[in-house]
Amino acid sequence: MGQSLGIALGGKGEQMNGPAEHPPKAFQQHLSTWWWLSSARYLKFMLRELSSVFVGWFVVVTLLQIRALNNGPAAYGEFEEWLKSPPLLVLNVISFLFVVFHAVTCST
Amino acid sequence: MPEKIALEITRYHPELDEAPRLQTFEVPLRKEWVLLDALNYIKDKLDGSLTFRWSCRMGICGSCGMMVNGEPKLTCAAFLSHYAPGPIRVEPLKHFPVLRDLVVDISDFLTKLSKSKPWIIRQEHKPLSEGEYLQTPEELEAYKQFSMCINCMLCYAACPVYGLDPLFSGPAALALAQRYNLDSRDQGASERLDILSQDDGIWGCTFVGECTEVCPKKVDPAGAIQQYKLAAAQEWVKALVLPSGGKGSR
Repeated sequence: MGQSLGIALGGKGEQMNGPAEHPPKAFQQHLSTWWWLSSARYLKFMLRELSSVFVGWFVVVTLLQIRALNNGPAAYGEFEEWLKSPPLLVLNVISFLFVVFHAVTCST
Repeated sequence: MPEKIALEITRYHPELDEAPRLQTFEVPLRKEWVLLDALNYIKDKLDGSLTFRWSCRMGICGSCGMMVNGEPKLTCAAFLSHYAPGPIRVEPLKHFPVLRDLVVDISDFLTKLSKSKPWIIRQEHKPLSEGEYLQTPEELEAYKQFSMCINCMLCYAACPVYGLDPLFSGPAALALAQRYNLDSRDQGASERLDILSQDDGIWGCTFVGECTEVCPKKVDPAGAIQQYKLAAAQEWVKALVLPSGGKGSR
């Protein structure tokens, strides 16, 4: 008996003494910053929101590809070399996984 | 099956406690008992000061909503055996101010509910001698699902948008507004739209979808809000392109 509920209620809370909206000393629950880690469904929602950034990144890459195509073979070769650089490869693999996740969760 | 199960219940006495705390009780684990039966057992046999709301015991009144192991549930529909061997953590609904133990202050919800005008609004009334306003089965079907809401507020406890932004109208109030918008007898869609097509109305919803997941009556508030967003967008376009501002077309 008497175990603190700090974590259970989201880490933070305060007593409200104001007379306006709530009776005196009603305990106001606050949502933790890490609320999205509290359930798999919340985490899935946040990951899907995050996946929009990578969808946007693929749009940027496609636009850059079109610009390189328009600028001729030399420019396109430079674009391909840029894509082959290790940081870009890692970024694009991660982006691809997020875009697939975005697509498969489209109707759920 | 063990004979007893432990319940970790939030206790909060506003005049004695700085913050809520947990108290553990052991109750008989009976196959036919729901959590509400266990809470009533505690109140009758173990600690008469335990405070919680309940009324009908059959999923109609919407009074006994609580967080059960972190999920918003109607305690009259949550069987103890489902959570065996336990322990089961029972807390007040998330996002609402706690008044005492498991009782939360629902004034904010009631204010928002009335703002959404969940009743039939008529611009012109026909005389009683002409009889009732009739509906076809199709017209009934259009809103019936949304009319199943029992105001249990589980959707508010599940909605992180409401938790983060207390000004947000919330799932049930918006779903009930849409329920009346879709009712063929209603003529108040325009009045409601002016109130609810604000940032803290339908556009506050980010479509997390948890309201629909936890709804005990399968109302699908998230679906209602997305429908409402579409209708609001159509009205915005009409207001932009039609000389009458679209008001005459509602």
